[in-house]
Amino acid sequence: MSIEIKNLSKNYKSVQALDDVSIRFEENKIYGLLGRNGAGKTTLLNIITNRIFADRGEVFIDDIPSKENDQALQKVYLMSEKNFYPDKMKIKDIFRWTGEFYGKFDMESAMNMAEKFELSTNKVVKGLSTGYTSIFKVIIALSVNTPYVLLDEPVLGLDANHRDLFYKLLIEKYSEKPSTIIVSTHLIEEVSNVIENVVVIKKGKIIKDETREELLTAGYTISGSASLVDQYILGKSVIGLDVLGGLKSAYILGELEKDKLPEGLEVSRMDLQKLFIQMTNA
Amino acid sequence: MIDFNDDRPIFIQIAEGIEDAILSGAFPEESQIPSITEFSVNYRINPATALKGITMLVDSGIVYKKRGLGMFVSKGAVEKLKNSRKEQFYDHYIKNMLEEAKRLQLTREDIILMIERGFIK
Amino acid sequence: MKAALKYQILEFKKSTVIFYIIVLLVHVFFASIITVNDTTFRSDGGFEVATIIYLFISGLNSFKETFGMFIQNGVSRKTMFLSRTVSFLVISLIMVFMNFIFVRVLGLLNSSRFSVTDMYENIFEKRVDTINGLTRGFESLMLSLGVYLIAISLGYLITVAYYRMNKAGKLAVSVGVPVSVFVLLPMIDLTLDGRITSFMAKILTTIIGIRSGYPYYMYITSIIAFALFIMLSWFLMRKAVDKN
Repeated sequence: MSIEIKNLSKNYKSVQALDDVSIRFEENKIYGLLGRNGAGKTTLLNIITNRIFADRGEVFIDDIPSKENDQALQKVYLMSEKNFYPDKMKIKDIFRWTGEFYGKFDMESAMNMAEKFELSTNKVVKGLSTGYTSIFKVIIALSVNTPYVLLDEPVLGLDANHRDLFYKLLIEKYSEKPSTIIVSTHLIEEVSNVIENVVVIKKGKIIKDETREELLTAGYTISGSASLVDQYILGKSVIGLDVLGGLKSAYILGELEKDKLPEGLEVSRMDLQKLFIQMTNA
Repeated sequence: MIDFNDDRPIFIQIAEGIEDAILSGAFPEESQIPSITEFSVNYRINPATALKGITMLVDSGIVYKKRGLGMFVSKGAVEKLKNSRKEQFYDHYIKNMLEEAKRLQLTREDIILMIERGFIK
Repeated sequence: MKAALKYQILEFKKSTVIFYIIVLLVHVFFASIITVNDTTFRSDGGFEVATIIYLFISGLNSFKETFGMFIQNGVSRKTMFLSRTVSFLVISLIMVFMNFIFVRVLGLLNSSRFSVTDMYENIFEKRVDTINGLTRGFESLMLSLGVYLIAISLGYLITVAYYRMNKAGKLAVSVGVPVSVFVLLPMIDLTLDGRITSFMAKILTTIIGIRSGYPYYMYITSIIAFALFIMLSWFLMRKAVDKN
């Protein structure tokens, strides 16, 4: 049981959006699909759900090729930034139709969540603010009960309270009925505690596919006076440097040898956001 | 009880948070502690992370599982925690204190005086 | 497939109800006016002509929004297309019967100053007297069905084609088609002493069956045209993608 992507490539005129991407999203795990804007996150999700076609390569959903296959496509729900629902349709009618298309959609839970978010389900899509347009789609994603739920920038336009509520409902839902969830975002800080696996995409290529813990223990940050840091990092795999006056920080991949640490240097754990910025800088 | 700005792994912070609650008496011995789901929902963390933290405590015998019922604080957990924390006390607090004292060029006598001042208060 | 079909049939519900309210109001309005005024009202094939226009426009509106709704809901293009085709058959059949009934009912009021008749009677005037009522009714239903299917599938084909075209293509068609039909063709026709127009008129009257006086020609024409438009639509939409 997985979404398996094999050698996917996609070009838009002169831009290579995906470049021979192969990856497996395993059952019942929460993935963070991280990448800067334009890295290829949305293209990947759109190909998985057959919204666009790849130039080369294939997507398998539970071993069924997803291209033009209803049975495979019914296992996936993609909440996208763009709205695909009819502008003049009421939210409650969209809920109802989602139930018709996806048989396991939980109407009761959707209406409960709408109440928590204070979303009026009698409104039509066009009448909603950017935040609420994300919210109604997020509610569907959390009530649709497909084995695979893909969320493309889910917290776009949501205020702090609603974001927090979203993460709470996401964890609740996942604890109660686990499914494979892929959260695509460029806001790493927020999802870093929620996700179990991290997939980093850069210029159409997957550059990291690891568990969050593996990634975080893969490196460390060292800081101190510039001369000490420069001396220490000789021969080490440095992925980035920050300089602030005479103070320098280095992001280093590899295991920290504590006893060889010279005095005057501070060590801290790499955080996901920093690691991400260092990895995806051009 | 948990501050995620701390830069240690979250599962360790979860485990320590529970330990603190046990030591303070918030979770008495033989009482039930919140479930994995409650921890993960409450702190908005992945259930696998919460599980990892609690597994650490199960492995060290601080809490135990009752099948179908949940997690409970072991008998003697407080004593056990006190002992292990005492062992860590030097590494966690004294070492750091002395490092900082060195940077500030405090003498041995200065530090002892300060500790005594702390006791008088 | 079931949900996709239900969705696409129900899409027609509201607009079809409005359509009939308007068409009936027009008929009722004129029926009442002639009782106080010394005028006449003739709606010969009026129901069908209005329906043809309505279905053509419905066809034009049958793609973009539904396509979005369906790719959001995990429906393949194949299923979209098959259920769309079935929904066209269903809505056309419903309207064939509705019109048949309305024409018969309003026809009860026919007098020298008021007339509501069907399209069949107007095209195959001579044949009407030679066949019995049952055959006439059946042939009329079949004629309407064929024409409706052509109208709605043509509208659909045009909208799908426009969806697939880029800006330049849309512009070329939007300008090119009217120019060639209304400017170039008449100009060439003029230099050939109207031979093109008369040739086209001959073809049209033949395939509709006016020349022979038999409706069967039109049935065959309908089947071929519907099949052609639908197949072309599929050819264009099977590769349709979200455009952003």
